[in-house]
Amino acid sequence: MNMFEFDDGREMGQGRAPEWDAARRTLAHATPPDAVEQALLRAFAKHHAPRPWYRRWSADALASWVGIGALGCALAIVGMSLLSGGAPSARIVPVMAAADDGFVALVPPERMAAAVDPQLKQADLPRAALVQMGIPIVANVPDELVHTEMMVAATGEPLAIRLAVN
Amino acid sequence: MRRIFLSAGLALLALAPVAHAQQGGAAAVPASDALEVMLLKISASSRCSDGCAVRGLPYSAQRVTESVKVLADGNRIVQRHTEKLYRDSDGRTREESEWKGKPLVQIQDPVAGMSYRLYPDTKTGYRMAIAAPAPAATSGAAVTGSTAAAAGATRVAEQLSPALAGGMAAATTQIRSLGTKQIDGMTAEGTQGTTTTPAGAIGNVQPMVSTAETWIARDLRVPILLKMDHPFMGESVTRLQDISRLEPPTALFTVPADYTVRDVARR
Repeated sequence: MNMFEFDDGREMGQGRAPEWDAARRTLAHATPPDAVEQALLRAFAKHHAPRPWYRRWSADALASWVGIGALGCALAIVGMSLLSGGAPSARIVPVMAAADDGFVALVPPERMAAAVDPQLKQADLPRAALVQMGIPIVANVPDELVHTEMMVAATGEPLAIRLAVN
Repeated sequence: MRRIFLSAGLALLALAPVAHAQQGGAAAVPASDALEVMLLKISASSRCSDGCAVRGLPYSAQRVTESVKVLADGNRIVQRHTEKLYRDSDGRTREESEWKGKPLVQIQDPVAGMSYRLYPDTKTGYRMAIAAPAPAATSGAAVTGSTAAAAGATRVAEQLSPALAGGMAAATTQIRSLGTKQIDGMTAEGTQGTTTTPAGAIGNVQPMVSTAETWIARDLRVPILLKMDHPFMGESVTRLQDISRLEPPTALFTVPADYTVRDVARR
């Protein structure tokens, strides 16, 4: 069977004029000239040339692949979070401690400014006492001493306090 | 194959910011937060190897402090603040208070070895690993757990009075036991320390007397009543009230997932 023959049952002339079938049978045994056949094949190949892979993607196909990629990312992130600790947890950011400075005022600023000849004195105070002074530290061990530097007025009145790790 | 590579590339692009965030370098604490970090460091430093955790004695309560200071002109400054305290059976503690006009939560987790300082209004906070102070500066040997918390709690009054005397050599301190009494249905042991600064020590015409009185709840191992009277600092009374011995919810001792916590490295 050559390339122009069709075995679709229509050879029997069903529904077509007898002249058509006769012409078709004649042409089926005809062979075109080589030059014509080559020209036809070149024209066919040019018309139906394979497109590069990136030109074969339509906008819909691209969108679907982007969607698949995003889904993959989401699954990867969820998987990483599950592997790293189970339940969601707070975001932790490492930082370096600054130098220990800063006093906690024990009196209003105007009284501190009016204090005459203040001096710096050192004292070890129990944590419970510091909490009672209003300094927010943990005092689970109430008697544990914390080394402090107190700014004290000449009258002996504590003005401000600074804590230091013992 | 090309499609697989393209998908993998997209995935890497999407994950890059996550990886960058995970591997970010340690920044310095803002100078404005130096005081906060100092207070955290005090909370996270304990001579107890396990943070002196008191285990098996859960409770929750309110801690109310009232202070009255009389000025030279007769004016009076009266202050009152309330905190909420929680402790679970594992010895974790949580304190909810107010600091500089904003809510503050302090969590001490001896199980994880972490101390937290959280600011609910901004959903941020700091944390630091609990550690003992440097050996050279430690006043005593390391001790462990509840025995230190129980026995040592009675020493607050003994230590407070001389400390408040400002290290004056002329001051004398007397310590006496106040025995036991019932406070809000709990048996408490009391100790009182009295420090006297003699006349003329700092130009004072009359002797100055300061006292510190501590009552420790025997069954809870916490100060249930603390009274302090100092010539310059005034009178202040701290007491526990609304005490419940039920186990507090576990969630109170964990940091919510939507918080950003800065992990402070010790210097």
